[in-house]
Amino acid sequence: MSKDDVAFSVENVSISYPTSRGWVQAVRDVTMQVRRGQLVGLAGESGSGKSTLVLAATRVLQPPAVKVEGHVQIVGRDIFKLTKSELRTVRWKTFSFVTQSAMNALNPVMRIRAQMHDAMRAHDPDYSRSKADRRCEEVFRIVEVPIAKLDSYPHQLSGGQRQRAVIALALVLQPQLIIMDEPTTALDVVAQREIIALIRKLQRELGFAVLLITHDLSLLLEVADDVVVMYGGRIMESGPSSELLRDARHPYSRALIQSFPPLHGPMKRHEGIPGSPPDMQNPPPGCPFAERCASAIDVCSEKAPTLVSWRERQIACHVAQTDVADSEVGV
Amino acid sequence: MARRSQGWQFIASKLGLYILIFWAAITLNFIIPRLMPGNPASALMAKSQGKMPPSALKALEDAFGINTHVSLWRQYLGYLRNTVTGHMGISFTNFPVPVAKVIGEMLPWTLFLIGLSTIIAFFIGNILGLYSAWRRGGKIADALPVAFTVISAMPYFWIALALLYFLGFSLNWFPISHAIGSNIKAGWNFQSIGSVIDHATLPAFSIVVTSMGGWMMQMRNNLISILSHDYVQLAQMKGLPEPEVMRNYGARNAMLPVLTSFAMSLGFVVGGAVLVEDVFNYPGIGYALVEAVGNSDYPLMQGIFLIIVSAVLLANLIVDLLYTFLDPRIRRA
Repeated sequence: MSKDDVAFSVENVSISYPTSRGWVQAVRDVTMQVRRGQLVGLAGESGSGKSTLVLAATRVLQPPAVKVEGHVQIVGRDIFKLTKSELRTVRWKTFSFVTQSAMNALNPVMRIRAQMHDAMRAHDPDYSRSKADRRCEEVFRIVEVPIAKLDSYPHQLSGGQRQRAVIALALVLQPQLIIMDEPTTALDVVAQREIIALIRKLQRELGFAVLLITHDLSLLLEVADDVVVMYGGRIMESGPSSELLRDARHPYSRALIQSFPPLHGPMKRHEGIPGSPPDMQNPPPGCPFAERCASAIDVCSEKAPTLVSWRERQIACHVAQTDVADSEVGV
Repeated sequence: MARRSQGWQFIASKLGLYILIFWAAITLNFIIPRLMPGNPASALMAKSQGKMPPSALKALEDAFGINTHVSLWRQYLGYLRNTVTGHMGISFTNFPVPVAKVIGEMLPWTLFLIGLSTIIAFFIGNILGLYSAWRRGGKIADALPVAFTVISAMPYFWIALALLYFLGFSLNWFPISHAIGSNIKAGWNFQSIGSVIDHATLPAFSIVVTSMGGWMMQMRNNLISILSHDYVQLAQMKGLPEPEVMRNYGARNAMLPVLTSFAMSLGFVVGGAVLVEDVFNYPGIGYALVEAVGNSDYPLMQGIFLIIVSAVLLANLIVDLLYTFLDPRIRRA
């Protein structure tokens, strides 16, 4: 695979926050990538480090707020080597965001049109008002919001419309990558499904890459090409979603899938994952999930598993790795 | 069309509310002095310490327009009529000058001194507040709130007295009282304007220095809380130039609550700064109020309160209406 194919690549990235009791590592040695035109899901519970990873990788979180190690490339640009003004020009034009709470992502005292215009004015040297207006209308049509709403203030839109307006804003400069951080959290279930379907449709038609962050793994498995499952700041399992959907190997991935109802399928009882994520101030020496894991063995709480490749996927789990080895032997 | 008529409806309902508040305020202004023992005529009689014959009481009552035999209700109606037509009675500190004329002479000085210092303090304070919030973490930005907390904690009149003593009395750089030199006639010429500015410098400086800190802190706190909003982060993610983020996504939103306090303080300008005007013997409304209280000059007190109430209400009304243009969330859908 050539380098040009990659929209977003993270290599050996570790991120730490300063606290009164020293540095706390929120993300540990994560490597992942999103190829052009691909929809990759990043899943995990709150506190698993998924939002921290993308915010630090795009330098929204910067020193001294965080300490970041590793390399990040977005569409061929080495993000950590850019100067501040280079970074400013790359932003939105190369990669844009749909943030966690679309409800608060728009300035309440500015018309939506003005909030789209300023992005275009900041990046387009031949910005013209009429050209920008045409583009605004175009993207509103794409996300299926009435064009009249361009001149509304955010509070005059429904939750679903606001989310669509934020997506329209992310599309306005035709970026090659859109990072979506829990884009459906604030919406009701029906609107959530509509938004996800819209994202998938746009992504196929317009060909941009999407990094979709959510805790809803079962949803990701139905829409994403690849899925990365994070827990306690590490990657637990990653691979094509069809593979994971059919046969998730990591006990954490399985537990996550169990805890959400699928888009389609019969009604059944769903179990949550008992326990809570590890204290990152004092991370456990072994696997971060060991304490909550039903199939944990002795080695799990002593030694952290390394991420190993198996077929098309990667798994960091002592138990799954033993199983895999056994099954390979059996074959 | 529907939208426009709704706008007018909104303005009309606001106006109605303010008229109601105004009526309540002037009614209180009528009742409170009448709850106090005695009346202005008997106060003047008492002040004369028996030098006036008892028959003069009736004459004074007639002169002041007080007639205790008229029912309270009829007095109230007369008071309302006089208030609406601008008749505020006769000041007896300055007997027989009408209250309206006394206020008319004092008001311009107060508007000039307090108004100008309020505006200057507002602008400097807010600019420092914006700077201090935006550059939070920097040495100067973080030192500003500490410095101004200390300065704001010093009483108004204490600073005024200190300035008066050192710059006015010891060094003799500035005059120590009045609004204009005693041998200069007020007018639009250099000598007169120079003298007015000379006299206003110390009192204005003491007001600006002590009130600036409040504006700065309010702006700083507002902006810091605004900056933690997601839309500010998204504006930065959009790659907007920093000054634009600061202007359109920070300052603009942080400005809204500050405007309310600014209008309130502009309304209170007409009340004068009692302590500063007293310390500097500045012939403004605050000074007149102190005189009126000292001399039990009820008509003048009532007149001054009426002016203050009207100005504060008017300022609030203007802000209320302005808000509907500045903050779209206030507009009724």
